[in-house]
Amino acid sequence: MSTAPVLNHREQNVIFRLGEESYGIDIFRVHEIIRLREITPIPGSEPHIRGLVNLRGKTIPVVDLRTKFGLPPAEDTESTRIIVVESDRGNVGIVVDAVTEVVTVEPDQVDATPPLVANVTAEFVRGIAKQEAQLITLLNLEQAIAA
Amino acid sequence: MAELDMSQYLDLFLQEADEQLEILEQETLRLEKDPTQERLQKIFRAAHTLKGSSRAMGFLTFAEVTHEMENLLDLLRGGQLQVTTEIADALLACLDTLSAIKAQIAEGRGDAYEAGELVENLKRLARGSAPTAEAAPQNAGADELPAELVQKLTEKTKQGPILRARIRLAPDCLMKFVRAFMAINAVNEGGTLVATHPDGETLEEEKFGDTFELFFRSERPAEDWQKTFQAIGEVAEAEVGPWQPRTADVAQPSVAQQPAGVRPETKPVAKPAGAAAGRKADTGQTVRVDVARLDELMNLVGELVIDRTRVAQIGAVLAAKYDNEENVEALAETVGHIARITSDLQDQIMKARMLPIETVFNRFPRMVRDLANKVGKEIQLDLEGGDTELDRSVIEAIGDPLLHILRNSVDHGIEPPEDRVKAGKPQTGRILVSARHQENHIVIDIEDDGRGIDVARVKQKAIENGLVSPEAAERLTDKDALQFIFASGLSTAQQVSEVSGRGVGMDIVRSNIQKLGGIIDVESTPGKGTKFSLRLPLTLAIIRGLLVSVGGVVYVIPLGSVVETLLVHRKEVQTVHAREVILIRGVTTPLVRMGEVLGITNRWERKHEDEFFVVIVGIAEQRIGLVVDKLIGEQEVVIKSLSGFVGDVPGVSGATILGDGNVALIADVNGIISCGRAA
Repeated sequence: MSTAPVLNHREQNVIFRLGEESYGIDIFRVHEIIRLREITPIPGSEPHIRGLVNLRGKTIPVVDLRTKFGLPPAEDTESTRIIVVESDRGNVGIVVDAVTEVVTVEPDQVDATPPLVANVTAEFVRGIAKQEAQLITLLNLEQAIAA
Repeated sequence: MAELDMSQYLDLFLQEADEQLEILEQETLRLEKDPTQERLQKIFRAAHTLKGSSRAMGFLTFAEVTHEMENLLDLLRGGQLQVTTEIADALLACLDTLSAIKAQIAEGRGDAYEAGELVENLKRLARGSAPTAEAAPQNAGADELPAELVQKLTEKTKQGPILRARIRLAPDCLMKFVRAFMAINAVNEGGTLVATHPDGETLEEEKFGDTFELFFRSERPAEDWQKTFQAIGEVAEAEVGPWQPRTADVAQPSVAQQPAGVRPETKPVAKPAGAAAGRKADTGQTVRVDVARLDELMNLVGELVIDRTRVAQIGAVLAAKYDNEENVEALAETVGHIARITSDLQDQIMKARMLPIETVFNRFPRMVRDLANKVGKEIQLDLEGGDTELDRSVIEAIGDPLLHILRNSVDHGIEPPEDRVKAGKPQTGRILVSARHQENHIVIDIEDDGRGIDVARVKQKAIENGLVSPEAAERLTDKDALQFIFASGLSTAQQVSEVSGRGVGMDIVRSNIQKLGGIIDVESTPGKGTKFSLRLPLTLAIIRGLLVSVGGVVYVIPLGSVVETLLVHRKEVQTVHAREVILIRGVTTPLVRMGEVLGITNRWERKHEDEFFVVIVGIAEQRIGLVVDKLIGEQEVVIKSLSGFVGDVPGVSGATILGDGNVALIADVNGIISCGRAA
């Protein structure tokens, strides 16, 4: 969907892992990162919606990105986190295997058109950033968490 | 309309006056330098609005001033007059006067005000002429007694005490002198009239506002007189108290100088503006609050309620763990206190959002009257329990459903007068709308003494519309068959009238009531009448809910929908058309396995316990039994909407946070019933 440069200026990204892949989301979209807590499932909702959590008196929906990206489900571990991000429709949590770091991504490090590199459908991806040895899939957050 | 209690509109009037006066002031100030047509138009509109509302409230002095302003502004607007400093001054003087009158009204002292000179000045300006020498006050209110009168009365008091009756006529009183005359007659029958204010001649010519005063001697106590005067038609307010020199100039006799038992605020049969004005300070001290802010407050309190429960639970855990620890005890105490404060706070905010249902009821008399005339029926509408209060969110939502039901009663329920006479009923039909609190709910009944609903016709229509098979219809009880009137597209009216009969209406009524988490019931006796009963929650923000567990998920079933809970033995369950039903006191009630319709559990994994819990819920007119795994308990919960992100989920209307910090889902009983029907 994007032909123009993916990034116009440098951007800080929160990097998290799903399985073997690293993904990045714009730090300005991240509200906070919380430990995994009791998630109340909502029977009858879309499969990628894992349920609701209580965030200081507010209920926020939690999206399971693995389901969304068609990855095999994983056990929740000590390092599993919920990244609370701001979306058009209020705050949403996304469950990730681990949050690893925050990196600064320079525009020239990003490839616009993602090759069939990630396990993720192209529409969720803004671009691929090359950081030293690792490749980071920069997520198009709105798309990635949308129904 | 004189029977209408205007006091509730007083706040509104004062608020509006504030707004409009502000506009007037701003625009008038600019007018002098920049007399644009647009500006004139704005000022004119503000004056016009004020005139209308003050008239409606019966504040005639206020209305008179605005009326004259309007005349003047009209000329300016039309270009017949140019804005001069003199005119601007006059307009500003009007503002001052109006503000002063408004302040007086807010303090409960009515609108009697010396505005004659101002009015004359406005009239003169409108004529475009120079000031006239004698700008005689048109009517010197009733507050200020002329010096001669005071002197005369002072003289007379020496011969014995004088009573003073201050009588205020209804604003729309047509024959003011007749009323005054009746009052004077009454005085002459039980006492001796000493003087009137204004004098007899002025009274006769009706050259007084709406208030006049009688001074007389009598053996009868003041409260007795008060009743006598109030019994006179179109008297809005009557105050009787002893008159004494000096204090006579005070508009209202103070409580202290009156005989015990006579209060300046009276309770006449008709209670228009006058009495409202008598309410005094409690109206002068209101603050306008944005509804959104009240909602936000309610949200915050909601969060507090959640945390209160949470803290209490943690406290209990700690208490169990550290027995006899001083701080734990202190914590328990504090938690108890916080709990009390929170509930008080919650109550107060809920109250702040409450409105009397009157605000809805007041729309009815006119509607019923017009409609009855249109369809040629004679109907007496009685409204009861108008002071029953409920949350504004509910008030906003129930007006239309109620109107629909009423319209149906007028159009279909009540028979034409001839038919009623033939049936041996009084010619005039009666509709009674009543509201009352019942526990945490409000119950509204709409009852008519009309022809009742023809069950056979309802069945026939239901069959025609394919809602039920003829065989099934045979087996339906009358009560069950009546429920079809809530089905979409079904009308038993023989003809579509302008008023109703298109078969849209009752289904909308039902869906609106359901949206509010309410129940609607209908009873009808052929030839005797029909009664609709609505049961609604008082508020939509915080509800009491029954916590149940289904397949490991906690659901909150709004208590408003819960009729009862039962422990049902397997043997009691029967099957009708492969549907599980139980008989409750002779009523066949379908069972819905909540876990299965919601896709949590699977029919084949169904455990065959001997006994299971059933929550009987009623949504609108239906009763259904929800089979749940466990009953957890009852709790007050704060409704949080499911995030827009999640979208609509069948069977879930929202979420809430429980005392243990976990999230629970709020069951959408209606949705579950629909799911169950489709399954």
